[in-house]
Amino acid sequence: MNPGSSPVFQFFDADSTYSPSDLMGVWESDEQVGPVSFDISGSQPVNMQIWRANLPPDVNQAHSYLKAGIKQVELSRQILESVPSRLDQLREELGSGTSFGISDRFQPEAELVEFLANSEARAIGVSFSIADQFDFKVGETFTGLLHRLRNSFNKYAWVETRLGERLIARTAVDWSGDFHTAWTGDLDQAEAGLHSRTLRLALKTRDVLARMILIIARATVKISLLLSSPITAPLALPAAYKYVHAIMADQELIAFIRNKEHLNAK
Amino acid sequence: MSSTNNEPLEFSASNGLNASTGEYFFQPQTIDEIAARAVQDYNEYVAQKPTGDGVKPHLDKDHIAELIEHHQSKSFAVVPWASPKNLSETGWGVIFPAGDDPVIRKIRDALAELLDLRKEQAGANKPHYYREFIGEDGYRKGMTKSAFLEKYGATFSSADPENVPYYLLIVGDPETIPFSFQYQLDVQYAVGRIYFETLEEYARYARSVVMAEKGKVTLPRRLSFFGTKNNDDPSTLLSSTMLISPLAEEITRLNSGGALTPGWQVETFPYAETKKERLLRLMGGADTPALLFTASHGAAFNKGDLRQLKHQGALICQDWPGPKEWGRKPIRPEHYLAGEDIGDDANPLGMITFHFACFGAGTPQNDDFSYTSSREIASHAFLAKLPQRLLGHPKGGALAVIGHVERAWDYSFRFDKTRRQTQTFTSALFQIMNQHPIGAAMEFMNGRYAELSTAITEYEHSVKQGNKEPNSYELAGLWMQNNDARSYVIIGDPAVRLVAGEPSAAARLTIEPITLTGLVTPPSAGTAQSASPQPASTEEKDKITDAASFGIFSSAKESKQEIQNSLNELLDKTKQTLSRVLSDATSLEVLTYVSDEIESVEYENGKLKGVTQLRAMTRIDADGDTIVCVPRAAGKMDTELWQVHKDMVDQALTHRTEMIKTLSAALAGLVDALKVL
Amino acid sequence: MPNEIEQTIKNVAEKIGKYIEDAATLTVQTDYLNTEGNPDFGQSRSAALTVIKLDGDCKTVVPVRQRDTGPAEIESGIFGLHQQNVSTAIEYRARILHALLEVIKQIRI
Repeated sequence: MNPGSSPVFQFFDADSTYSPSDLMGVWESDEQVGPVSFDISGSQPVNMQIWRANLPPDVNQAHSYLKAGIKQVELSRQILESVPSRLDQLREELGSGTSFGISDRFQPEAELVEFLANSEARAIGVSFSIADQFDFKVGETFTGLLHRLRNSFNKYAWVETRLGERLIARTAVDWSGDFHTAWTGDLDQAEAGLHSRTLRLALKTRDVLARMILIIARATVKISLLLSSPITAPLALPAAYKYVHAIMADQELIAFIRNKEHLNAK
Repeated sequence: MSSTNNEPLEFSASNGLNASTGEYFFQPQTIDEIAARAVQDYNEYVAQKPTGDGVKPHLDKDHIAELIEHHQSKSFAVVPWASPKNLSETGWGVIFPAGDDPVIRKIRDALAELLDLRKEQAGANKPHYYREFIGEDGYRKGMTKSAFLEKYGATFSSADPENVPYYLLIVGDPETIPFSFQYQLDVQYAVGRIYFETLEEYARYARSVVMAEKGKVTLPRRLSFFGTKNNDDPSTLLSSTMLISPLAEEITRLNSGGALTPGWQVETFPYAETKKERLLRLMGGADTPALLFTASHGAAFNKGDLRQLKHQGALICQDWPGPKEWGRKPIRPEHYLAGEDIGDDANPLGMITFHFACFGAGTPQNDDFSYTSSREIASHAFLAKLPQRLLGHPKGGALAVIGHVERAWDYSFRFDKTRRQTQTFTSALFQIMNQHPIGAAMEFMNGRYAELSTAITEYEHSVKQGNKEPNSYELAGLWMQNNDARSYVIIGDPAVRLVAGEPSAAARLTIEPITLTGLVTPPSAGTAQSASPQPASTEEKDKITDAASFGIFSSAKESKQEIQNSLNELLDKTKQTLSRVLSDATSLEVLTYVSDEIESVEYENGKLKGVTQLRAMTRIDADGDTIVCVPRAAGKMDTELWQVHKDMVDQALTHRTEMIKTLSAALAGLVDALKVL
Repeated sequence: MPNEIEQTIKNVAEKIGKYIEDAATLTVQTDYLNTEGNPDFGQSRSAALTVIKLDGDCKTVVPVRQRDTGPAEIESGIFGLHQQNVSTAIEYRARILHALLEVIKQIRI
């Protein structure tokens, strides 16, 4: 997004690690971000998440970066919201789960169907070890996400906007939604609008992150219903996690949605 | 240098158990290899610069000199006119990391109950006998023990509370305040350490100790010995026959002879009963004694194994069927007792435990016993989770856990293959049972460390002088004993004492619940390391995958449980948050400030701090009742500022409603997921 | 666990019920403060007040300025801001109630 040396949108959370896909490809998780340094080792307060926009000094250019970022996050949210209905559709096609023929499907569905077929085949065997195919690392990643979401309820968001070298505003948003904003004294209206957008981008991203985890939880339920053997039910969670991330990364879908919006705009 | 005798190699005993693979944790080394390592250490000790720069802490000249002095003069740790049982004569101090990190102050405040009590006790006659080493006076990264003591006028002789108190509690993780600093300080002082990940745990521990000190907690006057003897396992065969059994006999003999307070009961268990379930009953369960001594393998994991931070040092129980029957497979969580196995309904309040187990107290970053001297066994040093859980328990914490950092070798209790050397343990237990503060009781371990350090130095010196023939077996044995003796640490306040007595028939007391929010991460250990493991390298990831895909989960059942637990915790948190958002007390506030020094603006305790002026305010109660304060300058409405403020209000309202929707979706989603899983 | 889930749902339902009860009356108060220097918000002065009940009853206190001659005139500047605040509060309450209905639907009380 930014041809310059530092990322436009930076994110930092003291006790968690986020992957680029977690942050929708908009925010860069950066350990160096932080408004305060401490004597011991430069560690950051652990009850905050820092969201920082490093915008170019030209206000119009800055606005376009923010607009693109908000659009990307909204796109991610749209894609995410499509997951339950896609799963419902798959369930309908598969009926009661007796047929696992892989037909002409989207890639995420094709992978999920293949997984379902393999699970059923293994469940039939007498001597069965789920451990062979349970992706424990995915399971651990998901519980990690759950912990982060839980911990985020204790954290406040610290949102900053820089225009070139100038810090123009800082807002603290606590768990209940209170806003405390400090603006630089020499601000003008156009610049104020920039920080307002940064705030919107940060809060939308937080919201989508939370929804992602919940969508995965709901997808887990739906996938587990597709597994006829209860012995394989725990496999539903990592399958759901992979499925949701596959959909979010589905470039064809992204292009389709963008194109549709473009056509609607004409 | 070669061995001059034909003693067979037997250094495989008391190696830890590699729970990642089911094998023993360290490969046996030959006598010559170990002796060569010992010689390497000695040469490094001799060749170090006068400043001691760059030398390993345990080889520091001043440290060795102090050990020799301690041994040769048979000096008591604290000056002889101070009774170790009387804090007003010995002093008591607490050491924090240096600096003005607000987190340190919060931890200090969370410990306030304990600190106030110790201040009252230690400072009763002389206020300066109570010390807080905090802020500028705290421990600075890289500081040696000598530098620390010299700063306060203390020397290498007996601990004199006029300069530095005898009992010292370190508050911090071992990356911030290294284990080596603790070992060194412990030679002459009685040192303990606590470190927790939440402020609540600090506060719980403080309250637990205060309750115990004020006589509000009593546990049965019972010393329970829990020693496993896993099938085909030489280590636990040795520890059960040459440590647990003789210790139990000696303590029973002392008890019968009237050396102990009357009423003590000493219990042991048949090996078949030393299973996890029994241990749970002893650690906060129905059979919790005042003093528990365990001897078993400690679980050790490969660096990069996702279980390492959570389960390293867990006590492997009789449930593990032994190497022959189990084979080379990862050890399952049902085979060992880790911190997370101590449920919220347990009650370890007031107990003291002593674990003979590898990594039972903690793990250093590097292998102290490695031939190459630089082998990393963990991404960073850390405390074991079991002691942390016991001490920070919500119902009330154990008072202390004594355990090993790194491996526990059988050289702790035997001098050669046949002789038993349990006097150090007996002495320590005896003192603890006679109500000595545990830091003072552990002086016997420190004495042994000093004795062995002296012996190694004298051996090497004699060989170099040509007065003695080199003997690999002797040197290797001394070296391992020395390193082992150094590694016993106290997790907890070193001034705590046993709370044994005649408990009443009423239910055991617990502490009043404490609610403090705030997580603590070790400042110098980086950000994610204490909360989640260091990402493994690609090579290590492959190894983890190859090892039957075992990461943090060793079975689908455990994974399901883990996920259920996480979902339940999140459901609980979501419910709390939604309830709070909807409650009468939760209004929505939007405050707009201006600042001429915006870089200085910070957020603390719900307010912006720094050079700011509040200019506009909107407060909306949960039911929509609204108060707005609009800015007026020079008699007119400041419409520009008002627009900016209104924009923030609109965003906040949107955010609040979106939050309610997300929370409700969360509630629904989690409820559904839990029903299915 | 099913009992805990049921209890969770019950607690949320109770909260929503209480909220609806409290939200029956909406009060919006607009104060003003001279912002020269570093003002103390505790000394802000009340400018306008509106109370709206769910049944439609409404009471408003309007800020006026006394003129030398003729009737007092409404301080339109601040009253305009006050009316914006009232609209915001009404909209906010509606959105919250809508969000709470979503909660009820989602968890199927």
